[in-house]
Amino acid sequence: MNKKILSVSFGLIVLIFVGVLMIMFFVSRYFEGALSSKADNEVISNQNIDTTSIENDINDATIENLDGMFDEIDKDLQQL
Amino acid sequence: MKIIVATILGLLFILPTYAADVDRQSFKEERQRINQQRQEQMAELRKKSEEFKASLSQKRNEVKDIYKQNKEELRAKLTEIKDTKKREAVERINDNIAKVNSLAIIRFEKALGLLDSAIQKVTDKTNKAGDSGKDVSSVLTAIEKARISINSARLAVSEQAGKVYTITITNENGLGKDVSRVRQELHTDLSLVKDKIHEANKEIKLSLNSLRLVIDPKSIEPKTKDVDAITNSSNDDSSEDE
Repeated sequence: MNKKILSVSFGLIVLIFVGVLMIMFFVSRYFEGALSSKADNEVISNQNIDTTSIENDINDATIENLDGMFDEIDKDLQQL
Repeated sequence: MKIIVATILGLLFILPTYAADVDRQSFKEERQRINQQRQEQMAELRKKSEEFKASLSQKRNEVKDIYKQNKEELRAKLTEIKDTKKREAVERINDNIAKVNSLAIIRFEKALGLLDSAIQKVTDKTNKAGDSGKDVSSVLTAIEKARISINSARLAVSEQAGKVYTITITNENGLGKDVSRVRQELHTDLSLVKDKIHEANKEIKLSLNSLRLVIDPKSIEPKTKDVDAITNSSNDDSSEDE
């Protein structure tokens, strides 16, 4: 009888140990997932703000009318 | 018997957990590989940009020497022109043609630097959006198109930097026409390069809008109007130049 109780207790202890391990694993995974998705959301929302710096680069890269550069040449051309 | 059953049950729980950990490990390794690839890409882009700057500088120096030589030849030819004012005007125009080309190249170079920076930023943000699970395939296609446009513009600027404009004088009566032809040639060439830069500019704007569409579809409507505005202004500029 005693032997039977001992083996059942041991079995239960092993099951509880494995159960605790499983719970710890899933809890840690849940928090990791929640944190990383929060970080991703932050990255995405920051992107919405940061596109202004790209727009500035694009706008600054616009070449204005070239005709102004030829003013002096055109003035001298009139003398010929 | 019960111990064996308990051990088997335990293993049944532990093994999938271990397998999940292995999966996560391989995912991390894949991410590291992608990051490394990106860094290599950026280093390559930086190298390309440096090479472009060096080649432009070399071409500018080569062209300077040729202009000096041409100036002497032109001066000798101008002795045939009796009107001093006309002679001086032609000399000034010759100098200004070289100056205008050089200034335009500096502007184009600066614009290309900004476009490089813009497309790199778009690429970085696209990669981040991709990492967070968004489907960025359309943005990557737009980025590729923009990069092709930038390379085409860069090639055009490089070719323009190596061009020399020589005034060939036939006689005093045709002086205006001779000089005007060279002036027009320079104007046309610069306008073509400018159009290439506008095209690259437009493609980058489109890739940015494509990225916006992926991140926040609501923000796209007013931005599409911006692209139209740029396209129209580019067309207006071209028609003005003509």
